[in-house]
Amino acid sequence: MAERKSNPAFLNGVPEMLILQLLSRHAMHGYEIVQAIKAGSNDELEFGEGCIYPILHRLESEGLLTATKELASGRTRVVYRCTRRGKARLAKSISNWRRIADAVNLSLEGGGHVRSALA
Amino acid sequence: MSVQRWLEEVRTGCRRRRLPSAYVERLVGELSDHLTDLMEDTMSMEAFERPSTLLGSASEIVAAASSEYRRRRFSGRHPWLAFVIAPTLSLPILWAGSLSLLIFGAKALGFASESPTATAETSHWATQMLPFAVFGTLILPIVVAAVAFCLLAVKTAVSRRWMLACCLILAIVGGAANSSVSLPSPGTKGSVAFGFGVSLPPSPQQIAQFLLPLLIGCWMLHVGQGTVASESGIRSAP
Repeated sequence: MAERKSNPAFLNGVPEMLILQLLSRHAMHGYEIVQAIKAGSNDELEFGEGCIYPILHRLESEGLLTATKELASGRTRVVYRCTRRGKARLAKSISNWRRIADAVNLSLEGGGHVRSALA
Repeated sequence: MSVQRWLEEVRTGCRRRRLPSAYVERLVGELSDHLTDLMEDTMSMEAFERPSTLLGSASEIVAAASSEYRRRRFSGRHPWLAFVIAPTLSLPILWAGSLSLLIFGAKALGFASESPTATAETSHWATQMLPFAVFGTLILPIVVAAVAFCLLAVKTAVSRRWMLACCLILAIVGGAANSSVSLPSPGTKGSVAFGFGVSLPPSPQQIAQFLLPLLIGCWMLHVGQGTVASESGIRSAP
């Protein structure tokens, strides 16, 4: 099997939003986050699962998440929780994402007008 | 590739990128936990035998860790500002401060330009010390700036070239600076002159001003690796 490569678009702000969204619902450890993203996107979002940890560490250093060592499923794991600041960032990220997605959709739908105007 | 070799590649790659040891160990620990979870979930040894197929290649994880670690700080997100523009601007500001301190000190000793009140003994002593004091006002800001920016580069874990570029800028700007101060005496006014220029051959002071930031940079590159404590200390659950 070929080595799995990250989807560059996925690594550009989207993982932050997905992680914050999942953790705003309930606390999870890294493996649970990855599985939840895969299940939630019907495996459409392909990425190296290990790349989630550096993102989690940065979000923690920015005060958007907290990390605690807890006993989960018989092992001590690092469990992440979304902070109040993280929830505020999530709301902003979702709003930005919707604005951009709407703009892209609008642009795709209006592409024909541009072509006809140039013709 | 076996899991141990893969984890060791991640560890070595992160250290090569000058990421702090505590941060690297935490990352490796969590990756190891992730692999164990995968194995338990899938009831297969594939994750342990070929971890890169599921978690990403070691180089990919090292690149992500390095990039995310740098993004934590302003200096990591904007290295041109932090390690090129800021050092260039910082030296004139620091020199202005150190020269002001020198003038303030001279005035406190009774060398006010308008009416010097220093005794002959103080005047003799001050005249002897003046070249050292002037050299100090030039060299100390260079040393302070070099150490501060090198520490910032180590903390941010930016590429070595930023630290070297910063030290080279400090060496060039610092090495070109020269200053002269004369103390006032009855009948003559004191003066302070500051400028840039290199005489040929350069003076020993200017050679020292040029070499010192480069030496500090090389020394920090040598000792700076892995000495920064991780900022992502994990708390234990109560």
